[in-house]
Amino acid sequence: MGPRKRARGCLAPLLSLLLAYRGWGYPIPDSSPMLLFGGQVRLRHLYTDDGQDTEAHVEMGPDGAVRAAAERSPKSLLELKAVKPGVIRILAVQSSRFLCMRPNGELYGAVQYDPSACNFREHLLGDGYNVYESEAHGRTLRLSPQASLGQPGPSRFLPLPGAQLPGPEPPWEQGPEPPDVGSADPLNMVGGVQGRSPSYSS
Amino acid sequence: MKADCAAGSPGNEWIFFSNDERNTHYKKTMFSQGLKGSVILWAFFLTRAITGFPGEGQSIWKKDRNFNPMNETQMFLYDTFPKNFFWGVGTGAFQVEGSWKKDGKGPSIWDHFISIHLKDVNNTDDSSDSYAFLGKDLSALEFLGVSFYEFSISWPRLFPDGIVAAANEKGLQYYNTLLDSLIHRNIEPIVTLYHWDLPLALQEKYGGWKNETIINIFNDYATYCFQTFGNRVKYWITIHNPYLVAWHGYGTGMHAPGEKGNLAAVYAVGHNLIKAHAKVWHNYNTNFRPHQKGLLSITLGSHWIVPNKSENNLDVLKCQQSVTSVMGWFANPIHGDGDYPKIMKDLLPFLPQFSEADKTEVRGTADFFAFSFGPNNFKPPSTMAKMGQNVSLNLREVLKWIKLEYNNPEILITENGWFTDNHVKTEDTTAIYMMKNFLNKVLQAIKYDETRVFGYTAWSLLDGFEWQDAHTIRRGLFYVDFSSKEKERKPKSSAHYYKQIIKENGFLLKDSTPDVQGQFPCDFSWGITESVLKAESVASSPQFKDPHLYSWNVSGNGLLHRVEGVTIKTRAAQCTDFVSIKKQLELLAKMKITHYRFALDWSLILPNGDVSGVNRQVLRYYRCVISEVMKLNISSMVTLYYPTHAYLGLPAPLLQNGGWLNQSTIHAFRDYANLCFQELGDLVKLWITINEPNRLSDIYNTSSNDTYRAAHNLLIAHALVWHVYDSQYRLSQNGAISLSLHADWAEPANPFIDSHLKAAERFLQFEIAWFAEPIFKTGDYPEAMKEYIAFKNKAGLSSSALPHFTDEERKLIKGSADFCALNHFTTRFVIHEQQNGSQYDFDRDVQFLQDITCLSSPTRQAVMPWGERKILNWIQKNYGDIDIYITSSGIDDQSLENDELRKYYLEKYIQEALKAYLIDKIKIKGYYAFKLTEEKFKPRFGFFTSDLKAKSSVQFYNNLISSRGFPSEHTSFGCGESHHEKQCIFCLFLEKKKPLIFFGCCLFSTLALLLTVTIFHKRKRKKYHKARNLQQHIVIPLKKGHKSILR
Repeated sequence: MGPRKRARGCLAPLLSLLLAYRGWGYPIPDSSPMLLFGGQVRLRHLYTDDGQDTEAHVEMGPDGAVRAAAERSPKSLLELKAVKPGVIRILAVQSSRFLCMRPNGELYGAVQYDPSACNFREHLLGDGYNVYESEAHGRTLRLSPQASLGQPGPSRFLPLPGAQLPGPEPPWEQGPEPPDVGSADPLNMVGGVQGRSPSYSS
Repeated sequence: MKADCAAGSPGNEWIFFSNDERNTHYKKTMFSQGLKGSVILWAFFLTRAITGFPGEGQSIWKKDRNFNPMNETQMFLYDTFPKNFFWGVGTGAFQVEGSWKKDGKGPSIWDHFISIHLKDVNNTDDSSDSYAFLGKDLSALEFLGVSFYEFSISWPRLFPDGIVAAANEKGLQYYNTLLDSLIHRNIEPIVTLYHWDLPLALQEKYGGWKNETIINIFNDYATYCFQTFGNRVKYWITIHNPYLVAWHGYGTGMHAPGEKGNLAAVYAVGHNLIKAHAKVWHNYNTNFRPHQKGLLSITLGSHWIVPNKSENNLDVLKCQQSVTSVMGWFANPIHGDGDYPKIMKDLLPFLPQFSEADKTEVRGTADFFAFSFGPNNFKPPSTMAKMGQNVSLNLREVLKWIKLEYNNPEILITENGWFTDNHVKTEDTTAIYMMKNFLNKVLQAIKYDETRVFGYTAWSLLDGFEWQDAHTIRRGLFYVDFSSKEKERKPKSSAHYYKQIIKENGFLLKDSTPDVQGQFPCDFSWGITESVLKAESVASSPQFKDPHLYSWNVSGNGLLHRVEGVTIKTRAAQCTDFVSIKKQLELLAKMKITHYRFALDWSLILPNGDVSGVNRQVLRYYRCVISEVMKLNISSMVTLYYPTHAYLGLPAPLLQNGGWLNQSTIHAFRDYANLCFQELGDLVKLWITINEPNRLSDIYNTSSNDTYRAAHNLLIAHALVWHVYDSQYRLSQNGAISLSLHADWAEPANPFIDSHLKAAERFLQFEIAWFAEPIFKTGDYPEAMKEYIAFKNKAGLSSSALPHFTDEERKLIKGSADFCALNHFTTRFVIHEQQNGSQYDFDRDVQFLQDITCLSSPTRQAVMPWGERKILNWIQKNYGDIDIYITSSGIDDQSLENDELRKYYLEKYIQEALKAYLIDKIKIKGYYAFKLTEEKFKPRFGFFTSDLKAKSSVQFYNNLISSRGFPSEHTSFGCGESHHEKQCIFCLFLEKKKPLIFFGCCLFSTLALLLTVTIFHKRKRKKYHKARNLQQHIVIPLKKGHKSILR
């Protein structure tokens, strides 16, 4: 009778201390699987090998061209964001363009988000790979094969975390250009863009 | 092209006259080839061995190159030069004297060289003819107000065959007159004995400087000069830039005598030049100095170079080698230890040797360091000893290098300047800024690096013969039309500028008044600007809205399956459903601003372009932003339309129909605005219709008529919207509405030229008055703009036409703004440049110039705070006493954490705004810093990084806001609120520690409860024991239930 009671007496402050610790510094992480379909934004590179000889990442050029790239780069960094249950939209971070699909399955980058072309249903496969299917057209997102004819491009993608990938330095980080000593204006003073407003570049 | 120079293997740079386009110019005037083999060989030696014992100067490159550009030692220095600083200007005899055959002058090697290699140069006519027009030179010198004139004596003019005998009477007379005139005018002569025009006879008889005999002949000539002129000359220069004499005269063949390919000859010539100088110095020192009391030196020239990577020791060593192999070649023997630099001795088998006696003879034979820094040491780029590093024009660093290498000598800059192309006459605007840059570097070197520079020679007094460039470039402060008879010396802008600097003995701060202390009023709005907010079209937490239940991965396919027949209770939509709003709120709370300026996305709200398909969800999002932000005591300034280069922001159907070129867009915009007022107007007190409509000129730029048409429609659209607000919403909503204009200030690039002054004003008329004049003044375009376009039409340079407003439209537009909103970022220097073509940009006839001496950002945005005050005054002057908001103002800063540049910019620009408010009494109502966040891979304008991390400017801006500017110590802080805050520090503490306090209470009550229970139990037990004890004496029957409780 005695020891039991003592144990209970000790446990209560201990428990409360434990609770205090948790509530204080670290919030309990949201582990709800539903949150995956919430506002969570994932920065990912979509990697595929899909039985092909080559490995590739989905990459978007500044002009909106969608390509397969062997190396991860800022161009292949994508922002995956859920828009409704099981459906995401994909934004290429560097070009600020949305990955969208034409009715014939062709991929392109659009400046404006159009739900009827840029929504993809995310299917999670058992092996960790995902398949993306255009919500509107029902077609699977495929990287067009680079050389092989008629063969459909890879469609199984592994979303690799990509936030930490360092991009190449923007050009203005490389310091001033050396002067053009053959010129009367070696430091390039005259000319430059006519108007130019920071408002218009962001 | 630049990559070509920097990245190629170092050896390539030694191949003269590469196919580089830049050098075709040299090809024209010079013939090429030759020397290749041996030079490549030298390059091989130099690049192979990066050893040696570099001197002190190296430390310049090793310094931390991540220096803070806001450090005052790096910024343009407004200060004066030391008292009695020696201001001068220079010429070389051969370049300006002309009259090469007149009055018994003998031919020099350059006369001969021109006749063979530069045949298109007619050297009798193409000259400033200083020999004939001495008086004009003297007037030019007087105009400048210089304290000295550096000129050279033409050796063959005094002694036609070079050998000292009876001097040529006419020549002698010329120099005597020149010297007497200078003394008479109180201008100190600095005389160079040898500026490259060796008497041809000496070349032909002895082989020129290759032959040691010349040393004594030169010494005789020098002796004659000392004897004849020494009573009037206190500063002598023996030889001008011996490096170029040896290297181009005997190496590349670009200079007379035009020999090339023989490296042994190059170094033999260098050797003889050094010895000749030393001999003359000893001669002067022993025989003339005692009574003439003058000083003597030799002008040494150099380029400058910086390492590709300053952390790379090898690159630093290469830089040291590069400068040592040019300047050190002569400076080491003369100013150093009397011998060639070790690097050179190790690498160059051809290098002659100094005997110990020679070293003693050569060492220390200069009374000061005479230094030349100009384009000739950088020409042509292909023959420079760049060693794969980058050339630089940083004069300050070279001066410091000289200080470190040669024991802090007194330095006279005997040549400095750049050049202009020969078509440039008196309007040499770039030359002003080159001079400003060079001279300020000299001033910095004196003030901060404590170099002992005591004089400066601007090069040159007159346009003249520019050696291998002949007459394709000009270097004079005075323009001379070579084909004219009178050869008038016309002062160029750079002459005016130099005159001003000499007069002021430095750089005076004129554009800015001293900083003031004071505060903005309590109702001043402190804002932050954000571009278009990307609205979440779907709330981010569907789980609360979707009434269905799902099961996941039942069949292993990773799909969600709806469980039929189950509905979950959902809750009403809330603003917190939008995750991105929460993030914004966090950022805004940190900013501690009073106003948040952001833009709506028209195309998201009305995807069809008309009000048929309103996206309510998007509207709700924006409403949520405004209402949530309000809870932080932040008011919103909402921009209806905010186009950018990447995203015009028009609904797709409108865009397809021509966007702003189509009048239907005007009405669509009015309907859209009406909807926004209706839906959001109750919460918004400040509206901006269009952000920077004047910059849409960059987008509608296929023709000027497109540009003007779009602007026309934008003006009408804005005015319509203003009237909608004015008539329907103002009474109930009580807000104010305007449009914000891109309003950078413009200064004339060249203040000495009237056309630049006009161009600057014209730029403002075309940029700002274009929209401001109709709205704030007349209802019509500015007269200045109309007149100039008419003038361009008349001249046949443009067929542009401004659209006309009907009377009705004028009435509509006039006065259609409640305040003036300006987006001011920087100040631009404007050049008048006539342009041809029907384009908006061409109609203005302006060109821009970047002042390289001005602090600027990575995107080359110049920090010129006083420009802000000027534009505010300009607005007030033109449009009267209206309320003004600065609705965007900011700068890009490379740093992701400690953004010093942004802090500097904020402080200075807000200070100027305060001056405008306090001193100029301008009704400035608010300052909105640009901008809240930035995007990856774009110029960094944000207070927060793209990962939403706060930079240190956030705290800085906080402080400015909380003190409402720059209060003096005695100013009261109070605006009511801050008092309140002070009183309730305890409330704040409670607010902050709410969870902790709550938990503390819980813990306490739990403990109390536990304690009570324990005590209660103990008591019970005592009672029980007591009862047991009693039981032994008194028998009391126990109840069953009682036992079970106690167990």
